[in-house]
Amino acid sequence: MTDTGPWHDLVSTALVGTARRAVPHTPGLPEAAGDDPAAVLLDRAALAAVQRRAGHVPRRVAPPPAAPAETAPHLRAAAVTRLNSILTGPHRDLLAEWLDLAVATGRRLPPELLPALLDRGRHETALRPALARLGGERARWLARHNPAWAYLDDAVETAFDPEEWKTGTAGQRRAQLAALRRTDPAAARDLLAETWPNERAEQRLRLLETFRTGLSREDEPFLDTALDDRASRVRALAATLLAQLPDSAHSRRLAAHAVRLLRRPRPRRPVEITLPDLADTDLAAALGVSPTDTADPKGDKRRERLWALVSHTPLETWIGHLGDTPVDVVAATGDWDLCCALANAAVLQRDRAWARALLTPMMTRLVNHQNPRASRASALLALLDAEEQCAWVLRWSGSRPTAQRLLPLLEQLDCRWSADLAATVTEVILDPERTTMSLLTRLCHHAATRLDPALHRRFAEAADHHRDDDNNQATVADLAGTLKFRDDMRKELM
Amino acid sequence: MSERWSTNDVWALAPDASSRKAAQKVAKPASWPNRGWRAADPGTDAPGGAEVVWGECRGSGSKPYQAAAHLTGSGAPAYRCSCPSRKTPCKHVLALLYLWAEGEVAEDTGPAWVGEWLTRRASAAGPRTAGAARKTPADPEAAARRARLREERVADGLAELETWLRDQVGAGLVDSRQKGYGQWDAVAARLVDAQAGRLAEQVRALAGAAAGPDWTDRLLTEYALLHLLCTGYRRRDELPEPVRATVRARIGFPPPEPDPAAAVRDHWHVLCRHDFDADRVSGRRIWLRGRDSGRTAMLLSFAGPGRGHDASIRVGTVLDAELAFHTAENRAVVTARHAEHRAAPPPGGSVADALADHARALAADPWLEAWPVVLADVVCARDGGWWLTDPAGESLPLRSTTESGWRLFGVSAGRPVTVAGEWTPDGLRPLTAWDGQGRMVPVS
Repeated sequence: MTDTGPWHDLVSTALVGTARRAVPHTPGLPEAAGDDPAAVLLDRAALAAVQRRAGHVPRRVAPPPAAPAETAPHLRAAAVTRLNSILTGPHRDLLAEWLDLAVATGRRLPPELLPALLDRGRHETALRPALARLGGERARWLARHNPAWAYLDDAVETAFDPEEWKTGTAGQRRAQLAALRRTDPAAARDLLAETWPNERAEQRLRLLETFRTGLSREDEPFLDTALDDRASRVRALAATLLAQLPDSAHSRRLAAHAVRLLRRPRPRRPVEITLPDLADTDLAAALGVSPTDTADPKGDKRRERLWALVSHTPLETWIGHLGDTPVDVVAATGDWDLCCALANAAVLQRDRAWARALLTPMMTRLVNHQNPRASRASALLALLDAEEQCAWVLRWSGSRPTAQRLLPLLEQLDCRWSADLAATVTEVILDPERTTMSLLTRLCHHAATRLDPALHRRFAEAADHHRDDDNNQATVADLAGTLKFRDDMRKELM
Repeated sequence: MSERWSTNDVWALAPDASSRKAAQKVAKPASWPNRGWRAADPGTDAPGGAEVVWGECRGSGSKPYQAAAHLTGSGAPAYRCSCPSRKTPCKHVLALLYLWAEGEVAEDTGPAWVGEWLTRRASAAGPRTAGAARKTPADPEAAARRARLREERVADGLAELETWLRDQVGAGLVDSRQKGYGQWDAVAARLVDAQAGRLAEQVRALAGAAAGPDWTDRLLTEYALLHLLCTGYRRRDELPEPVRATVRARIGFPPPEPDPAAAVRDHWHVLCRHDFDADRVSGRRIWLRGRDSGRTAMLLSFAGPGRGHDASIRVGTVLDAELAFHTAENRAVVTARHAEHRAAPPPGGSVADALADHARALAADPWLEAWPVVLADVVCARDGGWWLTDPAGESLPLRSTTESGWRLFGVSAGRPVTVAGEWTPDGLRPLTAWDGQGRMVPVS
C-alpha cells in the first residue's frame, strides 16, 4: 500500500480533526460536498478507502526452491486419519508406537501433518529418528526453513559431506561431524581440532557431544584440552567422556584421589570416608572446578565434591581396593550417598555388572521409602537388556504380586514387556483381590501402551464380567478400548 | 447416495472443543456393546447409504444411553440421546458417529426404540416439503406495526451514530483512540437498543482496529464505512434494490425468505468453510461456486451455545443441488439436493483474477470483508509473513496463524498448488488446498 496522495492527506487531517484543519481534496475521485467538514471528510474517505481495498497492489515474493521429489508412496488414508486422531485426541502417548510401525511400511507422512509432528519432536527426542525416516525429503526441506526443527538434520543418517561441514548451519555441521564420527572417528577429531578455537561455546558443546560415538584412547589428548575450556558445560562433558576411558591419564588422576579418600582397612567393616579439602588444587583441577577456601561447617560442599569425584572415577578402581566384586563393594558402603554416587558412576560409565550390584539397594529404597534420590534406579535398570529388566521387576514383585508392589517397579521400566511380565500384569488387572480402584487405573494406564494389542478381546470380555463394580468395569473397558485402537493401528500399518 | 462421512465431518458437528474432547473419551467400541446403522432407501442422498446410525452407550448409570442420528430426509441431520446433556449433538451422538465414520459400526436395523423415534419424527414433520416453509404471521397488521416501529428505532440509532462519527473526525482520531474501549462499547450498546445488532458487532470490533500498528488507516476506514452505511440507510428509498438489501443486511435486519421458485440448479463446488465467533453464538460460512453459472454462494449458519452446525455440506465435494438466493451478500439456502460427488480441485485463477473478482464484488458491496478466491498454481513463499505467489510472480499475503502457515508451506514445498480461501482487508485466509496430485488438504 502506498501511503501518499489523497488517502494520506485524508488520514493526516482526520488525525488532528476537521475542527483544526481543512478537508483535503481527493483528485481522481468524485467530489463529495456538504456543509459539515467532518461529514465531507468521511464521504471522501469512504470513497478512497473502498478504492484502496479494490486497488490492492500485489507484491512480488520469490517462492523458495522446490523440495526434492519423493520416492516413497504416501501412507494410506486410514493410517493418516488415525495419526490425525492421535495428534489431536486422547491417545497422544501412542505417537511413538505409531511412528515405529509406520517406519516399517517404507511409506511417508503427508506433508500437512509434518509441522505438528516436527513440533512434537522438539521436546520428545525419542521420536526424532522415526520422524527423520518417515518425513522423507519434505521434512528435511521444511526443517531447513525453521530453526526450531534443525534437530532433524542430526537424526538423519547421512554420508559425510565436507562442503556442508564448512558452510552449513550449526545443526547441519553437527550432523556432518556425527556422520564422520561414525565412520572415521580420528578424521572427525582432526577436523574439530582445526575449528575448535573459533567455535562458540554452545556449538563447542554440541560438537563435542558427537564424541560419544567411537570414543577411544586416541581422543584423550583432545579431551584433556577440553577440560580447561572456558565453558563449564564443555568441561563437564569432557570429564564425563574421559571417565568412560578407564585407563586415561585423567581417570588415573581421579582414581589416585579417590583411593586416598575412600578406604576399607578392616575387611568386615564398612568403607571409611575422608572428606576432601575444598582448597586442594590438584583435586579441583582434576574435576574441572575451582579450588575454594569457603567455610563448610556441615561438610555439605566437601561431600558434594567427593560424590562428583566418585561419579567420575572408573569403577574398576574399587575392585581389590574396597572389595573383590561389585556386589562386595556395594555391600560395604554403609553410606547411602556413596551408594548413589556409585550408581551415578555406573550410569555414566554404562557398566552392567555394577548396575546389577546396585539395583538391589536402590530399588529397595525406592519401593520402600519412595526416595526420589533413588531415581537413578530406572537409569540403572535401563542399562540391562529388556528381558533382564523385566525379569528383575518380576523377581522384585514377589510370588503373588499385587498392584501396589508392581506399580512403582513398572514406573521405572522403559522397555518392551516380556511375555512373562505381560502375563503377570494381566493377571493382576483381572483379579479384584490384588488391586484397588486407584491402583487399577494407574496399572491400566501403563498396560494400555505396553500389552500386546491382540489382548483387547480378552479385556473386553472381562469388562463384561466385572458388572458388579461399575468403576473397575469402565477402567478395564477403557484399557480394552486403547488396546483395540492399537490393534487397528497395527492392521492399518501392516 | 453420497459418501460416508469422514471423522473430520463428524468433529465439525461438535458444538465446542470440550464436547469434542468428551466425545473422544466415549468413542470406544467397548462402551457401545449395541450399535448399528439402518440402510436408507436406495436413490436417496444418504451418506454411506445410512438413514440412521444408532447405539446404546454404557455410562455410569445402570441403564445405557440410547443415542441416534437421523442422516437423511427433511430437517436432517437430527440427533437424539437419552442422556441429560443439553448440547446437540451430545458427546454420545458425536462418539457414535465417530465410530461409524471409522467403520466400527455394522449394518443392523436395531432395537424397537430406533423405529419409534423415526416414526415420531416423521409424524412431527408432517406434510412439510424440503426447503423452508413460508412463515405467514398470525396477525399481519400487528406485524406491519412492529416492522414500522423497528425502522423508526433503527433510523434514530443510525442518526445518533452519524453524529458520533462526525464528532470523532471533528475532534481528531488521536482523541478518539485515547477514549478507549468504553466509548465503542457504549455506542454499540445504543445500537443494540436500536435493533441494529450486526452494526453493533461492527462497532464493538473497532477496538481491534484501533489496536494494530496501522491503526490510523484502519480507524479512518472503519469510521468512513460506518458513515457510508448510515448515509445509505438514510437514503434507502433512492437506492437500487440490491444495494438497499445489502445496507439492510449489514445493519442487522433479518433478510426476507428467498424465493424457492427462482432457485438455481448447478453443480456447486464446495470451496471452503470458515467458522467464526459472533456475539455469544458460533457462525459458519461455507462458500460455493457454480460450475456452469459461475455464481458465488454463501451458506451462513449460526449455532447457539452447545449446538452444532449442520455438516451435510462438505468441502471438496461437488454438490448437484438447487440454491435459492437472498438479495444481498450472495447468501443462499439449499432447497433441493440431488447428488454429491468427490471432486478434482475447483477451477482457479491468478492473483490478478482474484483481485479483479474481489473488486467487482466490492462494487456491489463496499462493506465486504471476506470474499472467496481460488488461486490455481500458486506457490507458498515466506518473507516476514507467508505469501502465495502465482506463475506471473505476483503475491498475496496470508493472514494466518503460524501453524496453518507452516502447513500450507509444507504442502506446497516450492511447488504449485491450488488454494481456496477468503480475501480479507488483512490478507488471504487460506482454508483449503489441493496439492499437485489433486489431493485435498484442509489448511485452516
